Amino acid sequence: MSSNKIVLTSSDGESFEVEEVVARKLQIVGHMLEDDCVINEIPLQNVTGDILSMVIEYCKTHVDEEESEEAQTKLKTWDEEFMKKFDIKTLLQIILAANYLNVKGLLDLVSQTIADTIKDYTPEQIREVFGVENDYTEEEEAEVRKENAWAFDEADTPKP
Amino acid sequence: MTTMGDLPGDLVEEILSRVPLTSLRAIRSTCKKWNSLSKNQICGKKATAARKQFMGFMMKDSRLCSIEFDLQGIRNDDGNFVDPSIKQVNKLDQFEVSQVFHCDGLVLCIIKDKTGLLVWNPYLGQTRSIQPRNNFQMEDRYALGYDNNRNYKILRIFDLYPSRNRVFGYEVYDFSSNSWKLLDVNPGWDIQSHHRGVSLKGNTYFPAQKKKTEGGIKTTNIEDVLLCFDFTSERFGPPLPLPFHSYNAEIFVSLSCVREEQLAMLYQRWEACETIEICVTNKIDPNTVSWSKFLITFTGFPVDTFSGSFFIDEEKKVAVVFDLDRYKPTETCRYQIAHIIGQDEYFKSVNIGVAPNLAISYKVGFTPTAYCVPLVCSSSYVPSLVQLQINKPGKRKESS
Repeated sequence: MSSNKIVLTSSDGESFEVEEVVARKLQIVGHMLEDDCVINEIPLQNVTGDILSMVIEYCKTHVDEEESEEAQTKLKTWDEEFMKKFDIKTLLQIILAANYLNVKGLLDLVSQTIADTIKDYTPEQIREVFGVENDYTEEEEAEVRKENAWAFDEADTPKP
Repeated sequence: MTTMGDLPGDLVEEILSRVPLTSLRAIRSTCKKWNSLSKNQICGKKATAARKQFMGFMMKDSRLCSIEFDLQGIRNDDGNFVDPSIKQVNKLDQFEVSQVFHCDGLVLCIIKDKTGLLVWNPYLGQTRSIQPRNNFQMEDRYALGYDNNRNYKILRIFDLYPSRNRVFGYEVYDFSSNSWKLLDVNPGWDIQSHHRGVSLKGNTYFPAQKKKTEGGIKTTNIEDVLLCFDFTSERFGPPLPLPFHSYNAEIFVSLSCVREEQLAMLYQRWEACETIEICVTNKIDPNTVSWSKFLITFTGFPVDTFSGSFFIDEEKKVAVVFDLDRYKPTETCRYQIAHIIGQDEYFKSVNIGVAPNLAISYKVGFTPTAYCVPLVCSSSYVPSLVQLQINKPGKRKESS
C-alpha cells in the first residue's frame, strides 16, 4: 500500500502534512478515516499548532513500536528526554490534547510525568505549581490533614 | 494559562492513580475536588509495584498505629538506615485495643474492654462499630476474611464452656447483613487463644492442636497442624501439615503472610529457644500446603510467647520480628524492639519505644510486671474502596 498523506489543521490554522500511518496514531483521526476513506484534510478544533506539532513528533517516533527490548529501551529514553523539554503549563496542554486526540501512549506518558512531579511536593507547592485553588477553610484543611495523619508519608517534608 | 483546574475529572483521576500512596495526605490537603476524586478510585494503584518499603498497621501501647518501615538501607555501612515511622491513628485514639488484624485494606480492632469490635477502612476514613450478640470475652479469637463475592466477614471463636475440657463456639459476623450467626462446626482441633490467625486471599489460617479428650488432661500423640477457615463455605478445611513436628503446642509459632501470596511461619523449639526458624509456603490453599526453609538464625534470646509477630521482606531476604527486649532484673525499664533478621546472619535490633510497666503494685518491695507487647499485621497495606457504612434508607451518601 502506498503511503497516503493526510493534512491536519490546528485550531489556529496551522497545517501539518503527515503520513497516514502517523495520523492514525491519533485515534480521533483513525475513526474518521474508517468512516470515510477519502478524507485527506482534517481540521482539529481543540488543539493549537504548537501543541499539535509536539503530538505529531511523539506519534512519528512511536509509529512502529517494535517488540524488541532494545527498541523499547530506546523509545523509553526518547520519551524521558521528550518530557524534559516541557514546563508544567505545556504538559497540561499536551495532556488535554492527547485526551482530545485520543493518543493513549502519550496520555499515559504525560500522566506519569505529572504524577512524578506531584509526588515530591507539599500541598502548598502543588497548588502553586499547578495553579490549583485552595478552597478549604483553615479548619477544614486541618481536619483533612488530621483525618489522613495515619498516611504513610514520613517523607512529606518539603523536598528541594 | 492552562492549570490543573482546566483538566476534566477523569484526567485528574488518571494522574492521581499514578501518584504513590505516600502522597495521599498531600493530595487530599490540596483542594476539595482532589480529596473527593481520591475517594472514587485508589491513588497510587498504578504505583504499588514500585513500592520499596513496608507499609502496614500494628498495635503498639494499646493503640492502633500505622507503620512505614524502609529496609533499603539495612546493609549500608554509611548509616543510611532509616528508623521505622510509627504513627498513632488519631481518629481512633480514644480506643484502647488489644489486637489488630488487617485483611485487604480493612483493619479490625479488638477493643480492650471487650465492649465491641471496630472495623476501619483507612483509605475512605470510614469505621463500623460491631456489637456482640451477647458479649465478647477475654479469650476470644478473631479473624477477618471475605468470601468469593468479596463480602467481608469476621470469625469469632469463643469458649462455650471454659474448663479444662474446653468446648468452643464459632460464629460469623457478616458485613452485608450486619449480624452474627452461630456456626455448626466442630473441627476437632483446638485453636489456642494466644495463636493469631493470618488471612490470605480472604481465608484465615491458624495453628491448631488435636482436641484433648477424656478429662482434658491427656496429651495426644497426634501432631499439631495448620487449619484454614474458609469464609465462603464457612467451614474449616482439612488439617494441613506444619513445617516441623510438634505435639500439644510444644513449639512456639507465629504466622505471617508474604505479598498476599504465601504464608510464613516463625517457630522456636523449647530445647533451642535461642534460635529462630522461619519457613514459607511454596504452595498454599485451604486443602494443601508445602513448605520451604526461609531462615534459621541463632538470636540468643527466646521470643515472648504472646509476641513474635513479624513480616518478611523477600527482596532484602530478612524477617522483621516484633518483641520486647530481653528482661533484665537490673533494669527498671524495658523496650519494644523490631529485630531485623537476615538469611545471611544479618542482625539488627531497632528500638521502637519504651514498654511501660502496666502492672499496679499493691505491696511495698514487690514490683509486678505487665507489658503491652507490640503486634504487627504482616500483610502490606493496599487501599480498599469497600464501604463500611450501613445503608439506611433515606440516608445520603457521606459528602466530604
